[in-house]
Amino acid sequence: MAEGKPFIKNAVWQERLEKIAQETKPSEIDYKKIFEETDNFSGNAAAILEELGVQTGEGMGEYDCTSDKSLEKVSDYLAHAIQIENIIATTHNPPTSALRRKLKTAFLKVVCWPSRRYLYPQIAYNEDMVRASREMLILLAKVNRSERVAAEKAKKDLKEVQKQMIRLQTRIEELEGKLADSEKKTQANPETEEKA
Amino acid sequence: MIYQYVDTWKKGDAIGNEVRAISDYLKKNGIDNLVVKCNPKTYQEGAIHFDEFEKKVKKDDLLLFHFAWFVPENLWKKFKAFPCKKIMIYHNVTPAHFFEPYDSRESKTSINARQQLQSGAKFFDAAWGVSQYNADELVSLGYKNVSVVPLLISFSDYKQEPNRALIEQLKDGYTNILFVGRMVPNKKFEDIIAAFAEYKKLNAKSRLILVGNDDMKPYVNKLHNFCRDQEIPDVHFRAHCPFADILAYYSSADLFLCMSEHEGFCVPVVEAMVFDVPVMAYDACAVPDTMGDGGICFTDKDPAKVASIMHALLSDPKMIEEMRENQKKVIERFGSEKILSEMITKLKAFQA
Repeated sequence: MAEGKPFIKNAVWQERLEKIAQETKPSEIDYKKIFEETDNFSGNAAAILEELGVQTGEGMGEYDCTSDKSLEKVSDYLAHAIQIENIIATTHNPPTSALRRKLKTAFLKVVCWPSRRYLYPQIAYNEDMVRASREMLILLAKVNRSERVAAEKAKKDLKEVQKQMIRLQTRIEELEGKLADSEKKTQANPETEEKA
Repeated sequence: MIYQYVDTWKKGDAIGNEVRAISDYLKKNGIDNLVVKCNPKTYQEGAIHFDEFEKKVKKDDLLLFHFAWFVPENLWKKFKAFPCKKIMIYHNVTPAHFFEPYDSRESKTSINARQQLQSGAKFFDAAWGVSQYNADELVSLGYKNVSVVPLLISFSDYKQEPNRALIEQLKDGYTNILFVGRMVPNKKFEDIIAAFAEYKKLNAKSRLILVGNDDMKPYVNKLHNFCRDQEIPDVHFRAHCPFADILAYYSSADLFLCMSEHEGFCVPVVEAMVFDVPVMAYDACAVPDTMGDGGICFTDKDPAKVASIMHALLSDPKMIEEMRENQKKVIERFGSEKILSEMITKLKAFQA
């Protein structure tokens, strides 16, 4: 607040509320800085879900606030996640720390759902849950995609190494053959060998 | 003949509502008028396309030009050349710097729109700002015959049936904090969330409902991530609500909180007042002028301080009652009949 400038602008409310504003300590959390540092990662949910084999149709774009439908969706998402992805492994071994943090948050939200629902039985957590599970799938897909790329590269490298090994093996065999021939000639004609 | 030009005529949109209200009122008073639009995808009823207008327009006609965003350059050039008298109705253009971090295209369009606005000063015969803030901007740009003609709000729309089931759902003992507006950076949704996070410490049984178009994804994703990473519970994003749901949110709101840093008028503040919802808004652009004493206008965004005022207001039924009385006067100021009759007087004087 600028020094000397009142917190409340309109006089009618100022006389009643200004004191409260002045006596309140400023916020200890720098929300502005935190927001600036927050990323805007989302991923193309529909594309990734399709890639995972999850059907994207009506209702997927919006969170449903009716509890049964939401839970049904969550359980569907989780079933897919378990079927297609190795949740535990990818949660513990994501390629970057930022992804690990995001995955753990999403995963914890999903795991903690039943207790939260018991303690706070209002609609908010249904949406939170749907969102968390969907986000988790997106993140898992991202992790798996990068792992797939790495695996494909390793496979390609391995093939190249195998080809090189075959080439080397052939060369070794050729050289061994030559050596054997040379030894045979030496044994058959030791004088020539000596002159040479 | 009076023509109104609007780029996009949408049902339910603030400018679209005004266009419709002016058109209906002119018809009621026996004045011929037509709406001209250039975007063929939007609301068609009773509107003619620009090509048709181009053929029809005559020297003694009058054009009311609603300016809120960039106009296709070829049309803008033609408008400049038309022989009829022209009045600009200025709804304001969000400055580019708000969009820069999120949408470079929108940012560039904003720069172009502001350049057009500046160039328009020479060829508009008069200009109306929908708020004093807008009128001041027009004067500073060199527009002549500038006056304030408040935005027409279609109050009868709010009498429609709200989503009763949703109202019942929201009556669960929680304090409902509401904001309605397109989810764009100038509206500072992150500041609303920060103030709510602090308010939540004072009142755990509270929720924040944010209603508005969420098409600017980089910004909206960041808002979602912000709530999730900071574990701020009970923040509800509502992107594509039917009108009955919006009415339900207004009907169930305990407080309307606005942290916007750029508004040419800010219709939702008045909408909240129609539903007797106490209002608190940050002191920016046209907001204090629109709100008057119908809400608390604060000059600093410190979340803890904003939260303490929210708590003080919501704990004081007497103060809320007094605020509601003040709100009635604000709503009266924006009464359509009064504004429209003043508008007609101005139009007649202008044509004479």
